Amino acid sequence: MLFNSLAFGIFLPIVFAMYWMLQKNLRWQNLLLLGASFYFYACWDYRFLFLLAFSIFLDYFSAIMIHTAEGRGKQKFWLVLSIGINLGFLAVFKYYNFFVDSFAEFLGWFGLKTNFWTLKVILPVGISFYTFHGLSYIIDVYKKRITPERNFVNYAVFVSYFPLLVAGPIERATHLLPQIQQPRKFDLTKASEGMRRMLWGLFKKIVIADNCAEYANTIFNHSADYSGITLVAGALFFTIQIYCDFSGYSDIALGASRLFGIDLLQNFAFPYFSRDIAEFWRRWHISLSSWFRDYLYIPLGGSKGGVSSRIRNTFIIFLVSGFWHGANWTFLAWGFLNALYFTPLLLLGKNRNNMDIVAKGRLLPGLRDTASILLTFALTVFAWIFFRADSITHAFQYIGGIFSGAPSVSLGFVSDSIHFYLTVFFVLFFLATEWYSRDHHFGLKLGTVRWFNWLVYLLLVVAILLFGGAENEFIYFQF
Amino acid sequence: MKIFIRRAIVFGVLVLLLNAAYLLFMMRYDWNFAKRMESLRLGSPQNELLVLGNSLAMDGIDTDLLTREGVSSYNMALGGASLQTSYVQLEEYLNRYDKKPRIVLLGLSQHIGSFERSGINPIVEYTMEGYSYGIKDLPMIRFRWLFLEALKKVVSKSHREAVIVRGQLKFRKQVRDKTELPAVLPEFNLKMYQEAEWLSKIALLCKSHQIRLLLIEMPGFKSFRNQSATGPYTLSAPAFSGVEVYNFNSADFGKLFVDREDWIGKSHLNENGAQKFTVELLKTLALKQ
Repeated sequence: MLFNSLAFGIFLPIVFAMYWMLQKNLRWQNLLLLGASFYFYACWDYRFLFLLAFSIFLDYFSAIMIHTAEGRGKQKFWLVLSIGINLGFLAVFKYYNFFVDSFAEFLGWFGLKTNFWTLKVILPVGISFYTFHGLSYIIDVYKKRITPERNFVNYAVFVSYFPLLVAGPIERATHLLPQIQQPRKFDLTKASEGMRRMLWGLFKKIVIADNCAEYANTIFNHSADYSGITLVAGALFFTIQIYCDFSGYSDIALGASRLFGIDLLQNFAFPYFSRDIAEFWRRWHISLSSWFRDYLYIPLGGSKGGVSSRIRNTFIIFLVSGFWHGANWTFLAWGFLNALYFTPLLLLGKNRNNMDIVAKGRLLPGLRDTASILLTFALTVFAWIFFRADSITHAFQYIGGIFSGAPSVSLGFVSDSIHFYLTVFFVLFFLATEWYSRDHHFGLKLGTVRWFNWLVYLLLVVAILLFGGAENEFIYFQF
Repeated sequence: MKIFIRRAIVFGVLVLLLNAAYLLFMMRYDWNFAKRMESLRLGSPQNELLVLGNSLAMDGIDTDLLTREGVSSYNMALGGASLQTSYVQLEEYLNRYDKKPRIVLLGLSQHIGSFERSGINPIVEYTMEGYSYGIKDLPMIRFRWLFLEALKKVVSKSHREAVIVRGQLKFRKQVRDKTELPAVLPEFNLKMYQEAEWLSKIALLCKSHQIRLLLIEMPGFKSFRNQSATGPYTLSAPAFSGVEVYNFNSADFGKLFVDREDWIGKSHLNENGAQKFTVELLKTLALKQ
């Protein structure tokens, strides 16, 4: 069930109505959320429900065992067991074929022909996300940051809560569990803002991302037929697409969750207005970046220690982050490139230079900020080429094509000029709106004039209904 | 909670009102919609000849000229219409109006895939009797593609100046055919006609009403033309007995058209091209008999 589908448009109000009818009974409310979440997941593929249920049982039980076991050795045993099984599932479903194929290719370089057995299974949707939920919970219990949740339903809701189940944000037990344990009261302001945020998320996904996808796909899929500026345009379209696709999803998830009185972690904070790569990574997929920071980077030593260990840790975290996205060398290259961008800032101690909101209180940024934003954006666009390309070879061919063609602008990839200009118009409108709202939680900051706000909402609905692109799936569902 | 629900309902009602306004706008200003609505309110039509088919027939057959020549005609062809759509339109016409046409002219084209399309045109489906409406029929969802077409009218003078006369969409604009004839011209593919399920249903429907059915392969851009003669051809299946097939997409027949003067877009004839073509239809098909 996609967030941008009619089915979800029916599902959400039904769950919402039932949920608030049960307002006086927290246990039933949570049971309803659990049932709705499992139904939501079953709409994708009911066969993988068992995997989700097993993961929930495993971590619930392991956490209690860690807490009650006497001695650090036994606690470590349960920790390793839980992490091992969780990562084992991830390895089998997501990475097994990649490792086998890569190993076979490696042997092929030495003239050895192999025919390893590969798996013919689809990737269970959301596995990377709910596995990371469970891992953070188990590690937090082991580190004694939290005590294990004894109520099974509460814990199951924490892992499977439908707004975040298939593509995050990756929640922490310290943040989400207390909200599940506490009675919730309907809050008009919260619910209204949730609706606004969902609307903005749908606009980003359906109007911006899906229309940009049309051009990005055309250019990337036939990149050999294009050159120069057209290939740059393709990379720019993908840059906008991936941001609006994923942050649009996050906005819908956060907005939907607010309807149930539950706040989820902020996942994006206007990353394309960042002034350096470090700031970009504080604003892009925040829940994943902070997960890796807390559960990988800091345990590795973080930015403490010598230059070599700091560089090593930086590369590890970015490579793992790239690999988290998928079993392909292109994601590793994307992670590597970002590590390259980040390392100089870290070594010069400038990775925490831009902590504030850019051009706060001003309409436009200064010259220096503008140059920094454009440079950071250009570096990001360049890295996205690797992320979007089918293979490393494709990425290099694409980059080669950019520099090989005449620097003229050709709209040969456009089949309908009205559609193209309208897409560009909406992208510019979207960027301007996000810029104006950059000190807000999300991109749609409005004033207090109610009729104007309602006009904006209606126009957004009209744009969503009339100018939706053909693409449907969310990119991050494949991760 | 009450305030929230009240606001949600008000917002929902506003969205529905906007949808209603959109539907009314499209019924009035979209060519296909306007044509469809007109065809449902013809009063007591006295048409002897009915044109069916897709946009090639909608643009390319001048029913006004045919009427002036003594063959009272009406063009019911619609953009993107499948054969099933043509069947539904014909059946509806025959049920709705007393006077049955003497001839049905069905304009087809192999190169734009008019044989492969399935399903009923959304505009026809939406406005046909007995259709049960669901939530997916919200006009802004169902007819979203018409929005870009409407925008084209806003920005393009030639689109604004196009008119519908007796169902034919007349464009004055000229778009040059820049394509070339293929080095090896293909044969006219009669097999596609033979195997089209909905075509045989149309043939049977015409037969049951003693209507002469003419299937014509519409002319196209040079790169799509074939080497076969104009015909007439016959089809062997029993359902097609008495049906005549004409190939107007031959390289030879295509010499009638001037590259820079007679087209409005890919294989679509403009007003000028449609006139030329219709004069030839009158001569070749003996429509007055």
